[in-house]
Amino acid sequence: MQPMSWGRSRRALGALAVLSICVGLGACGSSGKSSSTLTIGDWGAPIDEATQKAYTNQFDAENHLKSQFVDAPGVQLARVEAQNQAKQIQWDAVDSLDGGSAYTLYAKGQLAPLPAATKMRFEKELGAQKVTPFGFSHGSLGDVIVCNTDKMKSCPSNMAQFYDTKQFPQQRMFGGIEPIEAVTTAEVAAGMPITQTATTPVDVKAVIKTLEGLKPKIKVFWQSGEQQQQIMRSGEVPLGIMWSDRAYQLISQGVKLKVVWTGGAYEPSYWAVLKGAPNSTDASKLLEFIASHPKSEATWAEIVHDSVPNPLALTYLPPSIGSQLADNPMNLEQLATPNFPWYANHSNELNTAYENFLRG
Amino acid sequence: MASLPALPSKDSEHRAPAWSAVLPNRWALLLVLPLLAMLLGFVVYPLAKLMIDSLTTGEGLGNYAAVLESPAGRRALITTLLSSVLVSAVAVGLGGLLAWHIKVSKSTLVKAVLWLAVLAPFWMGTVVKNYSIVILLSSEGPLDKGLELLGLAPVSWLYTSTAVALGMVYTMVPYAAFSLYGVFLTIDRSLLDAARGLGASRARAISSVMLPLAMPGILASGALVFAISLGFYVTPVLLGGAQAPFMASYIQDYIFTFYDYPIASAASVILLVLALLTLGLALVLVGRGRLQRAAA
Repeated sequence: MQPMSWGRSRRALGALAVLSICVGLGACGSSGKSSSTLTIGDWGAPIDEATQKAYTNQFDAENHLKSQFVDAPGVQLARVEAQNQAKQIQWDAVDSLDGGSAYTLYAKGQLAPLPAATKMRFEKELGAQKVTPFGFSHGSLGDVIVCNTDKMKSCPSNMAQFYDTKQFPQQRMFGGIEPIEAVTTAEVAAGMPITQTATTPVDVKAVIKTLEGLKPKIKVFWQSGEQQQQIMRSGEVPLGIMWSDRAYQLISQGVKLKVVWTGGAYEPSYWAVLKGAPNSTDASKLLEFIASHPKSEATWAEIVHDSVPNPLALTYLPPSIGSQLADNPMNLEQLATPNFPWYANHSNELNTAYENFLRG
Repeated sequence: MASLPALPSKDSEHRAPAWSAVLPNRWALLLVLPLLAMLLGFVVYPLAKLMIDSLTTGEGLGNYAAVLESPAGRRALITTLLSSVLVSAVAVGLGGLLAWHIKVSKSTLVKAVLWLAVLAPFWMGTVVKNYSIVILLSSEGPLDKGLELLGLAPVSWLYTSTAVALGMVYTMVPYAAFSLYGVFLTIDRSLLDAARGLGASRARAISSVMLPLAMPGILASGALVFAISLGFYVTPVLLGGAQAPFMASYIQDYIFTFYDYPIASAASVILLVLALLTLGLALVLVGRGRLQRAAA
């Protein structure tokens, strides 16, 4: 046997070194990211904590995974778009992404479509109205009318009355973000039946005109849930549009609010997997896990006070919480669903018009 | 008798060079290189890219037209400029008063209280600082309660431009006070006493002696406050609501809500150019020579 030449031994040593590095990193042949990690774009506390407690702790243990959360409250759309622009998708899934953003991202091809079989399974488990081509609704709430009963003798009983500044001349608060939900309330106030809002294209000029009529009585446009609560808690205005979960939190803290669902805007959020996600297999598995665990969904809803998709989850929830959820049939039938598919293709037009209404 | 050793002559031995605080140019350049590299990487490059993107993405020059033609963009620009001018004037006035009294006061207690007033806003986070003003101005807050006790009608302060201006002034006064304190330290107070001794009134002594000496510093301080005020975001949102038309909120919306980078880039460049123009104007007003003297 001939002794190994220096050149050959150097190549062998090099190969051994590369092999050692590969084994050490466990990453050869992959995109550089460990497949045992699931990255979820989230809202921060309390939503990521609830998701962890209700779903990912158990899911991770069963699948030998590690879920990590990236806080991007209200800016998930921008973060996903940025990842796509950089051609470097870092998130695997989005937790409770708001409807406007979810439909916009799907229209741009940035959310993975559900495989037909999975979609059918979800529809069977959750009901067809909870399932979209890219995921299922989760964390939905309502944009409801709230009225401080300490400051107002009578409250508007529907959206048309909320927009009636002669009958209710009090100062109000209104949404400064999420234009599609805001204009849906204007459509209802102008007389559109709530059954038609989801399918009727938005007449941008008409809704802005309706909103302009209300504007002199809007003292403040809020920009976050915390701000809504601070405004109503301090008594700055006696009347407003507010997220249902935030309204019930205030009531539990002793603020005397009346919540009116009639004519409010349904604000669904969605779990979805990103197109090109580094770990799309486990992300899809997580969606299936959530959909098929109504008891875990009830745990999530009990922490966050927002809707969960599986109808069976309601049976695990105390009635006091179940009655506060937007997906509870008695609330859902009073809400108008925005036309998200229209918004996905006309977001620039509506966003610019709303920006000019708000600050122009 | 043993003779004393002869003192070494200057030329007879090598002596270590005398210590100097001034570094040789090559060493100074070497030391400043990391800073220059950071400046290029983190300031010059992103700003250049921002400008290029604003002209090459979206509608190109049309991005600028879109910002300036939209009612929201125009109003945000005008409100931001006017508020920043107002805030700069008030902050420099109040900061100047504080700084002058800190300089001239002989009482340690007064000096300590004034320093506390100047430093306190620096010790608080932006959100805490603004929420404290929210509490103060809210409809059931101490200010309205006070008016009620005096038999006056409550005033709706919060979510108005007055509230935003108040919040901005509160944040900016310390910046003005700090920069002006340094300027006032260089003014010899005996010059004011001499003017008074020669018959000038107090107002005349201040306007003829102190103000001309302090003017470069006052203008520089105003320019600093103005440039910072242009970028306010949290204060307008918390004290003025989402409807407060400020450029920072406008840009934020176009980046994070609408994901329209070309418009956001154009709006940012407009704001940047305005800030640079202001600083340039201040330089012209102060005069290069006076500024060099002030810096010396």
